[in-house]
Amino acid sequence: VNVFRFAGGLRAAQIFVFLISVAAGGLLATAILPPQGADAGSCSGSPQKQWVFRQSSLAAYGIDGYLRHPSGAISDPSCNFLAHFIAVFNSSGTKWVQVGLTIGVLPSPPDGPGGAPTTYKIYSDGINHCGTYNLVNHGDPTSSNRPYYISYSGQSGTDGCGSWAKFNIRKDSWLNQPIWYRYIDVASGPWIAENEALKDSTAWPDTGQPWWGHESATTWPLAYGLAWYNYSAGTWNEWTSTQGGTTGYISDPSGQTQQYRWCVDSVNRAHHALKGASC
Amino acid sequence: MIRVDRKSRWLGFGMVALAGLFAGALLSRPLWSSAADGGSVDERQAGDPRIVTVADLSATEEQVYRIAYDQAGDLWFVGARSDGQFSLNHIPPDGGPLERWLLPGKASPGPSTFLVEAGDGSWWVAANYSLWRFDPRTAQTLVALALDVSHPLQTEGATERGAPLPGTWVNGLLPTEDAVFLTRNNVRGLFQVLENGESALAEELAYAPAGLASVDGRPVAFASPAQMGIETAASSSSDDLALAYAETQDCSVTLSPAEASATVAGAAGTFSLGGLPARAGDMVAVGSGGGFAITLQEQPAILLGDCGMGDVESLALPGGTVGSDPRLRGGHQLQNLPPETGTRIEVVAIAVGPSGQVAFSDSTMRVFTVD
Repeated sequence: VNVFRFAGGLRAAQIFVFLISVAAGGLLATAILPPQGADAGSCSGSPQKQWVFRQSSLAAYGIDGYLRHPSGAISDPSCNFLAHFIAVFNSSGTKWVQVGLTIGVLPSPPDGPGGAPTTYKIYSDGINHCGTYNLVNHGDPTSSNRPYYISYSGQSGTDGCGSWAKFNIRKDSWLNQPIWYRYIDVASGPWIAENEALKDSTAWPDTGQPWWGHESATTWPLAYGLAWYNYSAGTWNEWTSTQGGTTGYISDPSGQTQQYRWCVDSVNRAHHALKGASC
Repeated sequence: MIRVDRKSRWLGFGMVALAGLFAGALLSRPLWSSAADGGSVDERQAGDPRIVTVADLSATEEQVYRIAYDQAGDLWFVGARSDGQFSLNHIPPDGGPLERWLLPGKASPGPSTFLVEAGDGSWWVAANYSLWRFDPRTAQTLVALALDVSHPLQTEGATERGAPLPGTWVNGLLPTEDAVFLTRNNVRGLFQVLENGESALAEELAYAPAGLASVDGRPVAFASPAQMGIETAASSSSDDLALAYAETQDCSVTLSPAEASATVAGAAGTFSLGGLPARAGDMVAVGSGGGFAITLQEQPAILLGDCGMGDVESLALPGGTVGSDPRLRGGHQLQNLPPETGTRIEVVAIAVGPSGQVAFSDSTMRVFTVD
């Protein structure tokens, strides 16, 4: 007689709670895709958050570009947190795949893995097609100015969670093996480049002007700028103003004065976030 | 499937030998002997208490991309740092401290990392465009090869940026008595590397294989389902949606997410695993003795079984839910999600030993065994 035991699985009630929570998460999630937390900090209170971003109005199968982080630690690393990243997500913002850099320590709670007080770390995260959130700390960047890639693999299908599309995350070279795989429910969607800052009662950290793409991009080839992936054509295309999109910021709680601005230089070949009144 | 006669022609391999033989000049030595956490039962609330943490590489930020048991049942694994530094690690069976050696050079890390035992007790390690043979008994690197990215047998667009998955890194490694077979992403060839590092094309293929497996003791270069339908693999992730294992005539394990079920055909007959869903990213590992393990990460659980017994058990993974790990208490506010949504620790590698032992690594850079 063949025996099947399922001692460790979810009970029906748990599954129900899980499904409800996933649904709620979908309603709460916004198109902005903040990365996740860092190690527990010594600060207290609820963190304040602010995001500046550039978001496409078109769908694409991936995004790539250099992420350049400033050298040195952020101000007040025990209570501040910074991240800048690129991501592709579904149209409702409930599923995404993301890769980026983080530094700092979050006020506690909340806390979580993925950051370090004084050095930038590579992370990837996302909510997959099953509604599960995953985050991985990939360790130190190879250098302070390296390319990162999120691209649809061409593999898709349907499983117990529904439709899935597999994305490869690579770093340093598009010829390298992926450092991780992630799954969302669509093969293409809007994409975003974003900078996120969090603080508790202290001042907003200086972002140190993280860049997406090279600041001197007019002298650099396409590979150094931000680009979006056209899977059917097999091309990476430079992200310029002709692709449309939105530049903006969101703060939490709302009503805060904008501290960071999204700046675009060199005919949109490079982007950077700046703490200040204007670009 | 292509079955290869070892007398096949020897042609250029497209490799550049960084150093065919290392007489110890680039040897690594045991570096580390304390952080193994050997033998301690994982005390986290979630997860089965039989899951034991046997190594923790989080301090050095090394992902464990590949685990293997040797013929004696000892556990070995490969760690890789983001900067490309790889290490070979051994967990002594007597509960002694972790033994550890750094491999020379660097390679871009990722899940396409391989670790196979050579017939003489040395180990082959492959990752990205690098291949090593290392003898831990002498701490000598015997072979260190770097593959050229370009190859005459590469498929069209293999190294072009716009391809869906460009690159020609190693995607399969299979040991033989005195050599290893090797396959590469986007390259239509099956290659062989001898113990001394000499390499050659063993067989030109009509397609670029997705990996290598041993079927009835012979190498099989398998294609993705998109190319050839459901294929066979001794140990693989189900990135290509469907995978199967076929070691002997009387045991097979099949994962087919499209059918949301897994089946085991054992000596006692065929039965279903209760209709449990397999999903994209789940993995299968099967040991030489017929034991198998299937990750069902969304449960999150691992299914354990034995081909001969037909008995399947679900084992809850640690860290499968929010709050199960001290480092995973929150983050949900940041992502605008309620805590119940769940933060999951991902299984990175899984292996089954000759006696059915199971070990796996997860995304927190730790290695576990199932007691």
